[in-house]
Amino acid sequence: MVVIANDVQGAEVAKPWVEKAGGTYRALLDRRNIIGNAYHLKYVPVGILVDEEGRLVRSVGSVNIDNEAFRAELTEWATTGRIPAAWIEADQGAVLSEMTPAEREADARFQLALVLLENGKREEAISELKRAFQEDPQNWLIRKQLWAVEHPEVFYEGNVDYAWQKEQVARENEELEKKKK
Amino acid sequence: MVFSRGQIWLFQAGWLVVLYFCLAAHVHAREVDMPELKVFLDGEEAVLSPGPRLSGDRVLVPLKAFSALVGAEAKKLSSDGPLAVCREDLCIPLDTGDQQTVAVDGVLFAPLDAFGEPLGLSWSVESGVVNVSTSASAAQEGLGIGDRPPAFMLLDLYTGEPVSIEDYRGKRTAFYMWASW
Repeated sequence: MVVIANDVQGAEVAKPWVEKAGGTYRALLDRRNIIGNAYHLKYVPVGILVDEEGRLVRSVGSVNIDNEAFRAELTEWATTGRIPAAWIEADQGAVLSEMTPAEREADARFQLALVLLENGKREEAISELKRAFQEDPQNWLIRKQLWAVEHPEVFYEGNVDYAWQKEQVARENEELEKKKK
Repeated sequence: MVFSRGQIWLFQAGWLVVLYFCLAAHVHAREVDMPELKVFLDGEEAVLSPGPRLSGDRVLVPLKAFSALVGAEAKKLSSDGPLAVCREDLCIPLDTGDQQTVAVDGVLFAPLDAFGEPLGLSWSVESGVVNVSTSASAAQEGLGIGDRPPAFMLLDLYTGEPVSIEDYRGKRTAFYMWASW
């Protein structure tokens, strides 16, 4: 088991979570959306499950370790090497499409925002992240990083405020709807 | 009642006229029911004469010409065997019953959905045009069970040591991406 933290703000925001989970597995950090881009994914959590030969045993994407059924499947595969039927089923619709121009622009702005952030230009970074979000509103890796940079208080002071996130989604979706019209 | 030669002739000619109108109506109905479509292959207009037809929501393509257009060949699998669309080692036999193929003006048409997907084609119809894409095969080969996933290299959250998916060859491994948010 290897866990990957998708956090642009670096190791310090991710470590407390790994420690709280108390896992003994290796933890990696993805600050630049490397996994999201390589696999064309727009959300977490994500699972990439490979066998001894380095081949996929489950299509990449939406899996949740908190889901009991998935945990049972994972245990079965890890101990026996047999691929659970549910994984074969999930494989049927798996496609990896190319990025659209809008998605590429969103990623370019996202990457620029990271550099700006590293150079202490927070306001400029936020404005790039906002434009990235406009280009690719369904990309939660971009959308949530924007929130975390703009509103650190609801992420990094005590518990993550999920009620705030719900309200924020509602506000943003309303804005997006307005723009469409 | 006895008919004269002239009367018999008129009678027969009358049937011919009726038959003619029936056939004309039939052909006419076919043209109205099955409008001809333009073809775009991977975004470029392709010349096909006769063009594909739309029958309900199914696309019928002129079998020989369309197969050639997508790098395949329509042929009989044996002298009295079924007709098939073949590309390299792959042959998709067609059901030549009424439901599957239809001759229009001496040209054999087959529904694209009878062989398109196994050839890796995807298509959509919009305002008189059928857009055919050959890249579906590449997309579908993308990432499924048994495929080798794209390589990536990330840094360890604690030590900063670079870690790649290749480092885990020989072990069943679950890479699980999450985020602090």
